[in-house]
Amino acid sequence: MHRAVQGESVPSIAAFYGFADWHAVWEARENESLRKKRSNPMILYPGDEVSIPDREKGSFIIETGKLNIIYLGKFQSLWLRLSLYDMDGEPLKEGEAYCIEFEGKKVKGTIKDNGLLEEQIPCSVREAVLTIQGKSRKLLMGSLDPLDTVEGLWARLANMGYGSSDIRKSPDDELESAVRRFQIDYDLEPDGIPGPRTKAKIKKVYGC
Amino acid sequence: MAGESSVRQKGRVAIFGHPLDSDQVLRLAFSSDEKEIHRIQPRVQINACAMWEDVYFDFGKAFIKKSIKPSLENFRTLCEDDYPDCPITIFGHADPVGNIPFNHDLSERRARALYAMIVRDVSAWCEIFKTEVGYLQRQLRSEGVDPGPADGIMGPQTRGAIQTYMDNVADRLKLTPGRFLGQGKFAFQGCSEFNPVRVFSKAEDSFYRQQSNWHKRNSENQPNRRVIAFLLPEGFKGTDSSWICRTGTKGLAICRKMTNSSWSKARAQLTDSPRRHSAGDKTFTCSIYYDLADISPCERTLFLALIAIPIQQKWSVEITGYETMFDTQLQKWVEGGFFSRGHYEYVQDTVDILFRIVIEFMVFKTQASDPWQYKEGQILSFDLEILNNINPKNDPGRSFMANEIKDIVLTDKNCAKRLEGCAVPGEIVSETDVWRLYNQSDDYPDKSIPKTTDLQFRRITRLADTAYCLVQGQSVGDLDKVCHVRLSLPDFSIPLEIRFKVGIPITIKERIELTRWADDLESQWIPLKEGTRQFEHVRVELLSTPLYTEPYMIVNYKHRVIGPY
Repeated sequence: MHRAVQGESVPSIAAFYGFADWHAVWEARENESLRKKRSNPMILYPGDEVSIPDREKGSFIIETGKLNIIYLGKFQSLWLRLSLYDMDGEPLKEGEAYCIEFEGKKVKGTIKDNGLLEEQIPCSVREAVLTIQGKSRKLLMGSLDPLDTVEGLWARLANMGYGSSDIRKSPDDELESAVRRFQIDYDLEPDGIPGPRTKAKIKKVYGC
Repeated sequence: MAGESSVRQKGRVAIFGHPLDSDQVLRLAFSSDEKEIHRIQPRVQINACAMWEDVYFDFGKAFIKKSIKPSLENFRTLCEDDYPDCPITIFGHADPVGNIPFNHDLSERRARALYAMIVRDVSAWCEIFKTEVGYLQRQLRSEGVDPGPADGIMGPQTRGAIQTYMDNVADRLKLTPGRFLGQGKFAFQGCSEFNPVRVFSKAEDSFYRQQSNWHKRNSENQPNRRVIAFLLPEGFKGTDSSWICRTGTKGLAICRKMTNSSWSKARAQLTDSPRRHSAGDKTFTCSIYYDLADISPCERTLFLALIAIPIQQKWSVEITGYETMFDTQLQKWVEGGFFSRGHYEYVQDTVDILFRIVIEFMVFKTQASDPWQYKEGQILSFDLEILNNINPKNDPGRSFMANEIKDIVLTDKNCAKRLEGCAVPGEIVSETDVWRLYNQSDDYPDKSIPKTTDLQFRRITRLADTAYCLVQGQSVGDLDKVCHVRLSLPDFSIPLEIRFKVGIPITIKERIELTRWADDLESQWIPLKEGTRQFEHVRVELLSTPLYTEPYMIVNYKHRVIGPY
């Protein structure tokens, strides 16, 4: 049983325990309640318990007298998919260059259609820095909490530009203000309360 | 008191750089399928702001007085030199006296009047003052421009006078509507009374409802009546959908919507104690404005503190971590004999502290009881450190101190501890905070310097209102020693400048009187005479760096100390 901490996802946990394929963990029978609670294996909440099933023993047929190479499970790469907009709500232009740095490596790429940034990042990466148009932003992979938590709601709103990404001294106040701004922009009743309609809209607009 | 009224009339504009997108963090998850794309958009933030107090307007009117002129020149520098491509938008605010629509109209007219002056839009003024042309004409005349006969008619002579007046007052500050948000479409808006910075307590409110107290009420409400210009990030166009404030296009109805919730109502409520935005109270009732401007230094700061450093020795306050920016100024001061250029260049390396204020000369001498009156205000919180005895060999950049100032008494870093009160740098210091400075310098021969010195910082008023408090508990000592006190704050990197000036009291027969006071703050020095109980003219310089992440700071104006008689 593994208790998730901030920054972990099922794939990163699976990889940590040596699983070549994280689906073996996610789809394990023991994790049925986890699957019900968190429909998205990429989005866990600190404290979530992930059962680690027994690993199957791997067996290899090798030839004597030769050098055999056996590949052990390695960290899988997962997709980072962002749709980047400017402050005016316009998607960034296709071809705009960016650079993502993590664990000492630099990955360069260009924006695709409609502000889309798609990159494969090893699932073990927790922190990365995205630099685009001269500005850098820190990416905390695996730190997005589920939408039904306050932190998850907050993070999505902040990522979309509603409110600061730091939950400051009075989170209720700030959250209400951010929610109301979102509601006004998306034609919902601006009561500042993240009810089911608002949450559904946030999920739809934000992406997950 | 002497000179106080003239300081008031000059009014004040506070200008700041802002933290830029201080929340750089994006909390993300990997994408579980192709369609799961996270939408990322930067928050609309402010690059810089400038605030004009109510003093530049007549009570309840939108006419801008000529006294605003120097601040407009400062604003021009902000807009043209410091943030040349940032679109500007202006917010007007009113106090709660009067009804909401009236205040909405007044606050909007003030913001518009300022905008119009900057872009030389005479017709806008014609419209703003269309129901009070006579008033406008009289004002123009009293400010030195001839509008022709005060006939209450907006004719060509009056229009001409408006143009002349605008040219005279705004002078080199002349921008086009394109420089403003949305190409001028969102250049100005009025917040009515929705976003005060000071809210009366229930008791105060009842007191002020009585007509006999209205005069005081208006004066207490003054901070609420303000006009603020925000400079937004370059490239931000500001469209109908992206500009977060919609009152300019949708009118008061949208403001009512934004303030009609339990959140807003809770903030609008009167409570048993008075509330102040500058003290961390939540006074803004509009979510939009709150999100945009809550941490704006223009709204929150108020000013510097205190340097209430009494004491026996001369103190220098050093807040390091900023790049030097005073090369040209330095020349003047170098002639005064106390600083060398090397000092400033060196401190760029210091990364642990936020900014440096260097005060030349000694600050105060005090008496056992606090001789200064004080008013309310806000103090920045900071940690106090007293610098070590400077050894020129180890610390070449600071050698000037050893050279120039005698008898340095310095102690180890982190030798100042807060005895009570909040413990986090960046938080507001309260009146009950006590700081103790520890003198741990063993090799300093003069044992008469106390081992510990208690400092207490008092809230001071907005600087235009003067008056400092001195720290209590200090004894009169000799003035020959110099100390350096280092202040540290959370990361802060706005190019800022503070100039302090302290009046020098001369004690005559146990009564403290204010002595010489130079109008030209930066260049005049009043030398300290041996043996006399005097205040020194203090010069404080603030150096800044680009690492800014917290919003507190103030600057750019001069203080003075006025003691009670």
